[in-house]
Amino acid sequence: MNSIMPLVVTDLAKSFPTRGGDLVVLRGVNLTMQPGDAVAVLGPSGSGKSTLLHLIGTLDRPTSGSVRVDEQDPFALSETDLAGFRNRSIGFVFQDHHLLPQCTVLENVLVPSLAHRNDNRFAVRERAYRLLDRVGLTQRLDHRPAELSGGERQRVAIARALILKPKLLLADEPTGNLDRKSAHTVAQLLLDMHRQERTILIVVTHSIELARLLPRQLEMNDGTLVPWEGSPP
Amino acid sequence: MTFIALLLRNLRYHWRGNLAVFLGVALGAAVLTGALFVGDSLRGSLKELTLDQLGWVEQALVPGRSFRARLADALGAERAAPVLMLQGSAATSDDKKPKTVPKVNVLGVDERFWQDETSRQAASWNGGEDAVVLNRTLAAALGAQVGDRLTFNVQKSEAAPRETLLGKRDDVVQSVRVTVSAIVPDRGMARFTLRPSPEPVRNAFVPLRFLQKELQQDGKANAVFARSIRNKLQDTLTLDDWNLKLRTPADRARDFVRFLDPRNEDGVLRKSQWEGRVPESLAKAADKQGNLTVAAVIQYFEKHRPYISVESEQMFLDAATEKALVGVARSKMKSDPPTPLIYLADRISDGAAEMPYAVIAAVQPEHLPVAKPARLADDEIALVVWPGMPLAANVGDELTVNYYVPDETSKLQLRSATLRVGLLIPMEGPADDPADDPDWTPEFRGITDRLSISQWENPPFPYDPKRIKPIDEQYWKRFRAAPKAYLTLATGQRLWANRFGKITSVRFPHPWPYLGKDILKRLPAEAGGFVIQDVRALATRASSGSTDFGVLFLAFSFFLIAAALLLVGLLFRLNLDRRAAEIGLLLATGWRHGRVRWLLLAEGAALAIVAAAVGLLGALLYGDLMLRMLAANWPGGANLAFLRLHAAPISYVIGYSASVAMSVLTIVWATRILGKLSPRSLLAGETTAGANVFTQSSQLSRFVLIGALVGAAGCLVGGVVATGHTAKAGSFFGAGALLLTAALTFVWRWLHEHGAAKTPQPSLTRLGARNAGRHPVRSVLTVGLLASATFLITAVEAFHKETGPEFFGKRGGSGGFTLIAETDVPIFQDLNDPKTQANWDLTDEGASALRAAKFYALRVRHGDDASCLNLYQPLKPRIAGVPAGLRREGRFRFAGTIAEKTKPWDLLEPDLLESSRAANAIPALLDANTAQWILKKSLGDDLEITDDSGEKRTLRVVGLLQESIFQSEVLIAEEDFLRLFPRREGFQLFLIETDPAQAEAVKKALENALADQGIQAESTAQRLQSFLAIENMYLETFKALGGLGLLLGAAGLAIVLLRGVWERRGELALLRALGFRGAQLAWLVLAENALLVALGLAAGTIAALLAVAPHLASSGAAPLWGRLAGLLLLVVAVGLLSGAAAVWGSLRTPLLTALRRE
Repeated sequence: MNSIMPLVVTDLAKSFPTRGGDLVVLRGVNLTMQPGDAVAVLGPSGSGKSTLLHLIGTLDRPTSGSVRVDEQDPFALSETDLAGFRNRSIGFVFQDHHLLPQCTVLENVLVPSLAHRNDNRFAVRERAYRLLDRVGLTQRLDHRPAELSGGERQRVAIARALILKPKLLLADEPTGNLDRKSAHTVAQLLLDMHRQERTILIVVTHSIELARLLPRQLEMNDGTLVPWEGSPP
Repeated sequence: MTFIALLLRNLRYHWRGNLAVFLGVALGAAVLTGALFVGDSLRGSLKELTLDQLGWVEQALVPGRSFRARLADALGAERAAPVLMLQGSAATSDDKKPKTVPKVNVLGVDERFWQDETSRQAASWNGGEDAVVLNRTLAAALGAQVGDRLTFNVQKSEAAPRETLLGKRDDVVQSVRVTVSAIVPDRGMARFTLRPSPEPVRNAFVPLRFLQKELQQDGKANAVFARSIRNKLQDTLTLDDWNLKLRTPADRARDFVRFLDPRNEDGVLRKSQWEGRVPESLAKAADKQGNLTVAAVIQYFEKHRPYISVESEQMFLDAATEKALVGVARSKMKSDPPTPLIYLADRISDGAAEMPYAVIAAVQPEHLPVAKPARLADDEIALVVWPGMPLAANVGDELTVNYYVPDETSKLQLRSATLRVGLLIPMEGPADDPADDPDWTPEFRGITDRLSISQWENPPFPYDPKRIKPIDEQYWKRFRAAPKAYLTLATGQRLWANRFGKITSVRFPHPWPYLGKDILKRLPAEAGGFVIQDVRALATRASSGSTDFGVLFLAFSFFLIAAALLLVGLLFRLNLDRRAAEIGLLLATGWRHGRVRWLLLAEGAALAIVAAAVGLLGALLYGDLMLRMLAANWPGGANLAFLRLHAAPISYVIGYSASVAMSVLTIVWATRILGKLSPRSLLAGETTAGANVFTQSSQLSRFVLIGALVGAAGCLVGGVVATGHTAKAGSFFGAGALLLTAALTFVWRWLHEHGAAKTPQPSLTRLGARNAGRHPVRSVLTVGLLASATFLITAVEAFHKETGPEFFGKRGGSGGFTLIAETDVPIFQDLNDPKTQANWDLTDEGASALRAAKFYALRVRHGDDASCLNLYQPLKPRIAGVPAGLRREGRFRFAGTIAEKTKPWDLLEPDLLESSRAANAIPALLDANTAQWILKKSLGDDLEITDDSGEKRTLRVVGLLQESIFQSEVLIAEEDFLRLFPRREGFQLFLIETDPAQAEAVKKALENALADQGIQAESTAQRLQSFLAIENMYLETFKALGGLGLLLGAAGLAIVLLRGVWERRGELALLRALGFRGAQLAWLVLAENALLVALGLAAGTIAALLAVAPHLASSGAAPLWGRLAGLLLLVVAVGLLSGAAAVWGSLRTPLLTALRRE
């Protein structure tokens, strides 16, 4: 039986023009994921992990190959529709949280809702409160990013990533800037939220500890994605 | 959280960056709106000044002739004052230090003139006292105090036109001696003038009645100033106003009685008074005692001389009056009336004998004074045969008539005409012969009112009393001025008609009831110059200015505005750079590029809206500063203290809207880069397009570079070929803009390529220089700012003008003349004539200098100064008539003519320019600067003027003089001048050719000899310099504002470098950690700085020098290269100082802090 696969990455390739010639980063990546799936992508620096994440997240366009989400090719969309697609379907958590320093915690979570006309602002606001409650920041709603710890900032970023119920939750080194304890908390929270929201979760990380928390681990090797053969837990 | 809330949050959070943008926009708005305020202020201040100078006066009647002062009462105006208004010079009577001040307005006024009580009470205005009230400007110029005695020299009034046989050319100046009774401040009526000018007016007010008496103009005025005139001028004029005399037989009879007995009171002439002086039939009317009553004389005149003679007090009846009079006569008569032209011949001779000083009448043959109709051909003369006539001519004999006529220099020349005797007219003496009528000849004081020829008073023509023989006296005694010969009117007019008229009277049959009214009905008021001018409206129009200072200062401020906008763009762009990750995040969360740009634009627009409003306050300061600068730098010492800041609501609206619009457009431009960057790049903090973008832009930039260079070459060639000022200006600006574009495109390409170059041996200098290529847009903006400043400074310096050596040549701007002089009172003598000079009290040195000098006299119709020295719009420009002699010499340099193949001056020749003549246009020359900037005329354009008869006439610009001394006037041929302005007499503008070494001696001698005429002489170089000083002042202003722009450029450079250093602080810290010394790091930053400065300097200088090359090649521009080099060094210094500030910033950061940040 052919079932619809929410995320299908086929022969994805990416190279960057440089003054010294094209730099090939990805060469034929294939990946298929269902709602509720989660995968950690490991690999050394410069192996193309983040590039893969950016391509799946439509922040960048592939040189060849395709990414399909719910049978839809986002790169076939116009720039405007692509932005709308990203807004509805994808949530990002970056290593550097990229919170708007001028906005409060609550406002930062609501930022994606400002991207497009939203008829149900009240419901979005309610969801923001609930998400922040779930990440344990109810008491910090009116605080500015500068007044939060690194772990707290990343929790806000997770809430922000989930505000519009995305199908894909993409995390790029989400614990990279955190201490061990905070990293663990954030990682656990990320997984919990993923499970509760039944998103597809892809985490790019150097952290074996974080990778092991996820049910599946892959590794970038010479521009392709291969199962991780790391040391057992 | 809403879009607006986020926007406000962003504005507040990024306040530092926003403040910089805010200040940039505010500065731009202040400069832009301030420039408009300068225009408002000029217009407003000029209007205030001129309206204050007009006081209560709204209308003026200044016909250029004298008329009844009581006309003022007849106008039915709400307020009206008759005035005798003259221009002349004033002199103190202090023997030790006599001081003469020219260009003084002497106004004879009565109480009605004054508005304020102080001035009204300053003198007894309605009396005849010799008091004068001076305005403060004149008092200061004279150094006069209350109680001082002063002499005013003005033009003497004269019955006959001076440029006719009977006009007095030597006795022109009338001195009026007065005592200063008060000095009034320069306010309101005290600085009254009809000719708007920023120059302070020198006014002297004397009681009208006193001045009338002094000038022998009792009851006369030559101007009426009024408010709300209700009556129609045409209905209020009388024959007196037209200077016409209507002489019935009774009038002439009474005049005859007065002639014989000026003190007659009882209306009776004694025998001793009339004996031998009247016809026999009139003598018979005397009673037994020999008394002849006036009634009897009147009866005689009505019977034997039954006509009404209409004459002019100026001898000749002008064309308009002649037309009206003949029209009136034709309305009731079957044939034309007698319209005689009377002339005084030097002699009539038959070869053997002569009749000296013979009156000859030219009249239609049908009106010859003969009993039976007779014929007379045009080549014939009808000789009156009277008892004792010395000539023995018969019909068919030839007679020679010698007569004097004034030539074009108003010098009398003896001419002769040979005519055949066609008729002998008997005038026996005792009989009542029709020819026995002295009233053919109009009255002329000092001649016709004398009982004998020996009593003639200073005849103004060559007169030798020795030539008068007893028989001539006998004739005069019996027949007085009765003509001794008659010609046909056609012949008489061919010999003696002049621009003042071609007949001397018109005879109407007597009686003719209401003849005066009939005549007045046919005399259009405007034909006599009787036109009510709405001087208030004219002054308001003139105060709009000859130059739109708003536009001018906008142009001056252009670079400053552009620099402010570039800075706004640069600062906004730097803000975007700093906020790259934030923008990337928004894009990553699904914000569309467009929405992000909207957010940024909305932020920018909000800033611009508030900043421009703040800028409007700054505009008031900027406008005020510009006005002060203008007032302080205005050359020639003219006082522009009247300038006040005015801000029109429309300027606020325009300035504000334009500032907001331009700022928003700049911000739109600055945010356009967002469309080229992926969210990923932005999240990584990248704001510079990658190599792939450059590859695409590279093609485009190549096209831009080639296109700009080709376009610039085209403009430069056009600049060499073009003759018109507009085309030349277009070539300069076009070439300049395209060359700068090409230079900046080249720099942009070079920075990209330089960044890619592989340097085998990297050095600190190369590394530093390559840093400039990291952010090519920033660097190009900075180079652009510096290049524009350099371009401006170089170009302005290249346009600087000085009086170069070519100016002094005959084909230069001076025409080879060393001096130029003007007089207040016209001069009728030939200044080259040794006899004229001999009458002057000169030192030996002065006399010899004058003998060696050559004078060219020009006629002038006074009007508004058309040069750049006059801030007002010249509505009635001054016109000068150029004599044929001067035109033939082909002097001066021309910027262009409408017919290139014809010699420029020939274009003024009355018959040469068929196209102009066909269109009834009079060819005229203008100085190119006056044409372009003040009168806004090009070759072939027309100027409309009003001639002496009130008719609109067209002057066509046929040639443009280059950098000449004639920037204040319009030049036409003297012949045309005399046709247009027949009533303007004498010469008031003089060009003097003399050895420059003798110039001062000539000037001194002239100022001594012609002090009474109010002569003012100056060197031609000085005159041109005064015009150039204005141009150079504008250039200096342009440069000063360019300098401010340069400061902004330097600020931009400093900001770019500091920003670069801040972004690379970790990199620099690392170098320090690796052991690089501070000096080495400073060099690293300075190398980048020096590169940008060098690129800016080279781009600006090369573009400017190429753009001005055609101008330098074709004009008298004299760039001060040394000064230019100095200014460019200043640019370098400012640029390097900016670099030093950046170095200081980079070295100040603590090492570890910087490293940690990295």
